[in-house]
Amino acid sequence: MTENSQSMLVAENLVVGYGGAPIVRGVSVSIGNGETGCIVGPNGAGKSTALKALAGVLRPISGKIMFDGADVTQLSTDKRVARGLGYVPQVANVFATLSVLENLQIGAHSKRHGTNERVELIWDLFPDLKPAHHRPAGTLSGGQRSMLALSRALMAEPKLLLLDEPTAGLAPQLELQVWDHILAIRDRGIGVLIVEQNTRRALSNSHSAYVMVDGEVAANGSGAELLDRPDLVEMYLGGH
Amino acid sequence: MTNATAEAPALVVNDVWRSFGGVKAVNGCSFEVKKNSITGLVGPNGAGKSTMINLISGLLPVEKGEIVLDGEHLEGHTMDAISRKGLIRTFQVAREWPKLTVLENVLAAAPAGNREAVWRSMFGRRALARQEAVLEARARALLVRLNLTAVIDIPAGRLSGGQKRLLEFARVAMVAPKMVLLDEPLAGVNPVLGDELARAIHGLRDDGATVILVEHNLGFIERNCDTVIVMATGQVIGQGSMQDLRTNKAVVEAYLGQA
Repeated sequence: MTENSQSMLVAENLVVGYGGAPIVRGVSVSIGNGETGCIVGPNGAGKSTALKALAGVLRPISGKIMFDGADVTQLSTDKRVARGLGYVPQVANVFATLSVLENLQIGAHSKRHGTNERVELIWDLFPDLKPAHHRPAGTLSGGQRSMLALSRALMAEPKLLLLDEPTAGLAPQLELQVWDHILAIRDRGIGVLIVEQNTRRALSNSHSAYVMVDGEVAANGSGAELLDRPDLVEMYLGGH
Repeated sequence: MTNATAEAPALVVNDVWRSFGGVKAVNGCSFEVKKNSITGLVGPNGAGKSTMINLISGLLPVEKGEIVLDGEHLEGHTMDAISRKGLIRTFQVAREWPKLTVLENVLAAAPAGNREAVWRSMFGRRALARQEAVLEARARALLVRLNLTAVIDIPAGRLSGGQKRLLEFARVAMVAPKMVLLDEPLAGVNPVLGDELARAIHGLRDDGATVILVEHNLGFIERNCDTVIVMATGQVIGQGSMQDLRTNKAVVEAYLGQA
């Protein structure tokens, strides 16, 4: 793992639930500055719940979340976004009745200046969105919507983006396109922590990777290490 | 089981298709389910499992293909008609009458045929009483089996999530169906109730039903199913024991993706 001095996000022993038995039971995650990380694992493992706690959408029952050197465990999502921890939920991630451009402008609400410059940067990163800038977000295709959700989060100038299954429900070709954009974001120095269904693709693109099974981290290491683990299949399909 | 090859399957799904707009959710799907088996139906998100059981149970019409229960075609029939043919399904969220007691809930599930018989026997009070007594005895026996005797007179709305799920099994068993489709019975249920739900599922089979179990918890599937069918992108990509499936390349790829 990365050394603490270089870590952008460090979560220790997170326990998260919705009132009943906890869904996430003692999960620790560490993502270095500008790194790409992923949380993968079978359905129902608690991946999205863990991400929601990191984003501040859910308050953990116990555990600690450090971001950029500060304890953010008790901070709201808004305040975390203002500190540079962006979050793109899996659904309801754009304002359907607002135009693409308005969505981007709202994404920058935590910043006083530079909105127009950042919009230009977005057109640069996501050229497909520019011709659609006046269209209501609700009329976009699934792929475009996913791009807009990413762009909207980028407007707040995050240091690290938390992405909850950005390729869910997309055709394989669009899935590749979204990944290209995620890698382009990383190349600009922005860290990414992604929850993803396509385990092999996520692992092959991640510095640090976590496999969650049944609310706990079953394995972690570099993506390449985990791809080579012979017991990876059993974490998904059982056995032993 | 020993005679399996000679016996006709309980359910035959033959080249079934269904799309939503441009998305082919079920894409030429075919499989057979052995009589009196507990058969798992699994697959990654978006595999088409839910659509498939919605098609079998008649909640959605099929576009093309055949679904045959015990020699009778189900395709083109409504959910009601299909349940009268002996195929009952549960939903991810248990459905109960919240204001009726647990016992009344089970009694209300008795098949329409029986209830009509009860109705007709209004002409003879003794016959009515007898009918009711038979149904009630059956309902009480089921509630004993499912460990719900302590809550028998409580409104069902006050049960825990797990108890509601067990009540649903009692309601299903009351119908004495030929086939039961269970849609993620563990969803939203405290894990400690898993063993009890497993016993309830085996109870349905012991009563003569064939069970199809859709579930994400593959450990539960492995412990309780005779055979497992794996779907991905709207088709069956493998069938067998979980042990076999773990070495099946297509199955592994469906769960782990391609880099």
